Amino acid sequence: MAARRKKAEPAPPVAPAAVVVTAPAPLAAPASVSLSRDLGVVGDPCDPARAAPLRVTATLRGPVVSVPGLDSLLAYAVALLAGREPLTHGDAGPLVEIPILREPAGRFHLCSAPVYAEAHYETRHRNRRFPMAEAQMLAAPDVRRINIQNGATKSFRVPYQQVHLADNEAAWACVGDADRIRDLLRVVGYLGRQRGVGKGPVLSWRVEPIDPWPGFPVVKDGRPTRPLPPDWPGVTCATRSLGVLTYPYWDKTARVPCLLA
Amino acid sequence: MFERKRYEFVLRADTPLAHHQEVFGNAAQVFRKDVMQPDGTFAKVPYITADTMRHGLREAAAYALLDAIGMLDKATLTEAALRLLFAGGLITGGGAGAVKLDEYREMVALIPSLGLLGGCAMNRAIPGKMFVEDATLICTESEHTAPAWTLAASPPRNSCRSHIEETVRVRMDPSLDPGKRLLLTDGAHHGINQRLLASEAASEAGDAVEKRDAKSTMLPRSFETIKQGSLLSWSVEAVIQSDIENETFQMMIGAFLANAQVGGKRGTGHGRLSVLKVNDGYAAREVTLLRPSTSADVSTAALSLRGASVREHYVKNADRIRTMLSTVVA
Repeated sequence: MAARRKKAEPAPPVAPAAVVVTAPAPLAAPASVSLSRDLGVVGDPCDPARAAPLRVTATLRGPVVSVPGLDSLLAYAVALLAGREPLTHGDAGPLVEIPILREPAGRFHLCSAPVYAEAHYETRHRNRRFPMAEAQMLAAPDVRRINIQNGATKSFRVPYQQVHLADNEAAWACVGDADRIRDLLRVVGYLGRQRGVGKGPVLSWRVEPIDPWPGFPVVKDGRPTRPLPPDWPGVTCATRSLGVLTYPYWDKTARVPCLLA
Repeated sequence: MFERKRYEFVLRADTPLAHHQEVFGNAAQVFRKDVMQPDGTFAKVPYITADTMRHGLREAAAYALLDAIGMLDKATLTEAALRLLFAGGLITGGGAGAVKLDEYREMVALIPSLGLLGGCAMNRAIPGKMFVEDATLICTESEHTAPAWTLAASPPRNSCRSHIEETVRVRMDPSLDPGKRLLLTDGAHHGINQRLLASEAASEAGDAVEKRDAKSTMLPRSFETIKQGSLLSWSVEAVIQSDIENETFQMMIGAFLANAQVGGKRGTGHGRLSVLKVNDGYAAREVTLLRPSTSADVSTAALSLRGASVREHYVKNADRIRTMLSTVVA
């Protein structure tokens, strides 16, 4: 049997008030990260006289969850060494220069996406539980109920996949200053997501000269080796989609039409 | 100041480790991970997850902070502060487009462990600078992945299979004990007698359904443990950018390892870990990775001594930290 609804009580009489019409609030623009030369420059750009075709190889000593771009790793290292705060959505920060040559129009750096082969996948889980024992001991008396099924105190167990790379190696091709790249990469001890729990541990870095191929390093055999603008020459086989051209790659508001492999 | 600093340890299981990944029926299985062998095959090696070790460090840092600012003896934390200190906080939405870098700077300056471990506070994700690894059982299947010096301290002699013990425990049903049944009210006593009679009758009649419905709450269960005395290789690394961060990093490790307990069944003494003692020192090594390469043996006693200046920092800023914790959104 359906429960009887309580009849709504009549609202108390109120004095007539002036009607105020407010304009609807404008839709908030998605918070994006803005790296701007107006806010200064961190790091030095690549000196073209010292730039050479390079192959950069990371040898890992464990599985990795994702392998980032070499340009973003170097930008992380430059910002860290300069003592800059890590940026997040909605922040604006200075332009970060790295020792890899920019393409002629300056939209991105001349380096490929990582190249690696997967040997084995493994599923792991990330857990979060509200610290209930500590809440019983330390929470103020006004913390009366903790809902672990919903809301901010909800517990979760989220699966993620980690991958063991073949030969434990990932490599990038780029045009840059080998000595400065080598110096900066000493800062990078872990790669990709879940670094805090030891994923993507780097055993060593190798930076060595390489014979360039036509289109080096961003096009190989007519295919893009990284997201490229649609007007990029030499691409004969690619997918047209939205992509981010330069770091930070996690900023999805910076997506533009791109050529992807 | 800028350093990448790593500490490597050989840990010893002082009591069996019951750190379980899954339960099949009534049987719990310890965490195992795939370790690639030199021939390219994979072996499942037991380990303590990096998440557990990291949580231990976070908890040690939180207790040290609360103790120093006099909040450990009083129940005064807000839900958000509790979540920030013991679980890293979370983005609570709203205002994410207006995060304030000065608030972030103040928070990290007041509580250096937040800057090291990272988390979410004031609607801002704070990436950590600390990289905690799994504590992996030292055995023949994992020896090629452990730092060379740890093998000198504790050469593996056995396969990982020999380090696992299966234990059976039973949760007793107090209603099966006639003495305890005398403590019941008349109604409850009668009810249990009826259930026992029904159970006996079902057993005699071979009535499986009735037997199941009238069974006691006695629960036999089995669980795997990593055997007492097993050794594990563990390392933790951080990017250090100030003296106070350096000392906080060492204090966290010292405080955690001084009384480390991981996994489940802690109430029955499982999960105690300590740094292996070798001769007069500890099996531990400090490696400074970015500065001119140096390495030195350290003792946890030396680590915990560094805690004094961190405590001084907390005491000096106690009022500001208390105010921050009472208003933090996390």
